[in-house]
Amino acid sequence: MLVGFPLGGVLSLAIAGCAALVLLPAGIEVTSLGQVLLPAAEAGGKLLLVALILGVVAATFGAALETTLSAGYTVAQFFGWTWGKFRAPAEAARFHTTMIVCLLIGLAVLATGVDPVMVTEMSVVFSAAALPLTYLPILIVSNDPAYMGEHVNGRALNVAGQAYFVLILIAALAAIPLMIITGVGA
Amino acid sequence: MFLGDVIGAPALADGERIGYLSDVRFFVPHRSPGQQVGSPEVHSVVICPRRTGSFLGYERTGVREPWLLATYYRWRSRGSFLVLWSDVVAWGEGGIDLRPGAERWSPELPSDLDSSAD
Amino acid sequence: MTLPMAPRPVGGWLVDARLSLLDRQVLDADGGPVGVVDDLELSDLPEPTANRPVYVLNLVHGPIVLERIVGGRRPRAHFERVPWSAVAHVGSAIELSVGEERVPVGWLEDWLARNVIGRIPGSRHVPR
Repeated sequence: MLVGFPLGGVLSLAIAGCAALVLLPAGIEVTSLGQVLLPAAEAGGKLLLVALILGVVAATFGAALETTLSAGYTVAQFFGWTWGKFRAPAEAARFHTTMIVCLLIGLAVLATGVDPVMVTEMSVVFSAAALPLTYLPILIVSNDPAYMGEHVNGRALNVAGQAYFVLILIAALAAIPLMIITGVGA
Repeated sequence: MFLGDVIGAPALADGERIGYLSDVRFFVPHRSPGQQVGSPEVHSVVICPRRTGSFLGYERTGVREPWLLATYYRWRSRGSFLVLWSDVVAWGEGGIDLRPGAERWSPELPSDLDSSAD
Repeated sequence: MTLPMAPRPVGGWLVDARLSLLDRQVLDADGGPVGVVDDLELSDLPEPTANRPVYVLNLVHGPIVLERIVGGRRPRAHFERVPWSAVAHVGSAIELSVGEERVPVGWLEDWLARNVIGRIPGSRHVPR
């Protein structure tokens, strides 16, 4: 976690920076994932392009796995089903079925030919709108001595945590209206 | 019968509705023959004057953080009280009947009791 | 006006159902999740109660989510039950002393396991 997240962040910034340097002056707007890679390919040649393609495949494959697992966990835990990666699939049938259904829905959405970048932008906005709902339980549980024992939050952490909660609440309420007003960043 | 049948049911004393059943407190014996954890026995009921009831029981535990939430939820469940099982005349899906003159106790959970069972 | 604290019983501990029992994850003897506590089945009592004790008989698990969101009530007769005698520890989750094969699962789980997931090769393999 300490290596992956910073590395991913730096790389994302680098790609965005490269793309901006090359494409913005020419007034080109990026509308597909392939076009994002063009500036780096221009700089590095064919070998770098191969590496980039592998990277994109890995990233999107990983994201697909993560999304289906996340959907499975969320639904199974909410309904109280048996779940777990370390269970034989037949012992957690509803959990695995949910993952399969999620994958099929994802494929079906892609098959409609909708622009993936647009879908990504919209889903990021919706996840921002849902953020307070995932943040609140963590804030509550981190203060519960039955779960945390002596590791409950200190005063300073709680003040910061609640201030941050108010912030993300405002952001969440503003997210969808903003998305509509700006036409998804057009 | 099921606990879900009575949770939220109106609480009546002398035919007058004084609140709604917010929670049921059980007494779990440390030792019980043939079982690792003793069968919980109904000890008392928590009544809240309003239907909003209790969320996470901030009015019953000593938890005061996070301050905004704890204060808000303690306010929402203000006026809640405990009634011992011996003061309950009958209960069912229609409601819970309390003995006239049933004593009202603090809904707080005792904090110095060992709160786990092994 | 603060109310007095009720007399404390000895020989055991007090627990509030909605705070510590309901909606808690139920784990089997190996620590794997087998369900949640959706309801508790209590011993029956003729009215009036006449101060007779009422005990918890079973943990109850079933399709309760729709009921919570929309309202109404499903008959509990169709729900799965785990007897309280199978409970080994009550903490942040309720741990049972039996393995998952002894915990009843609902018809949907059973149907899917046999007809959908079960038909996929490798579905009985336990990943380690």
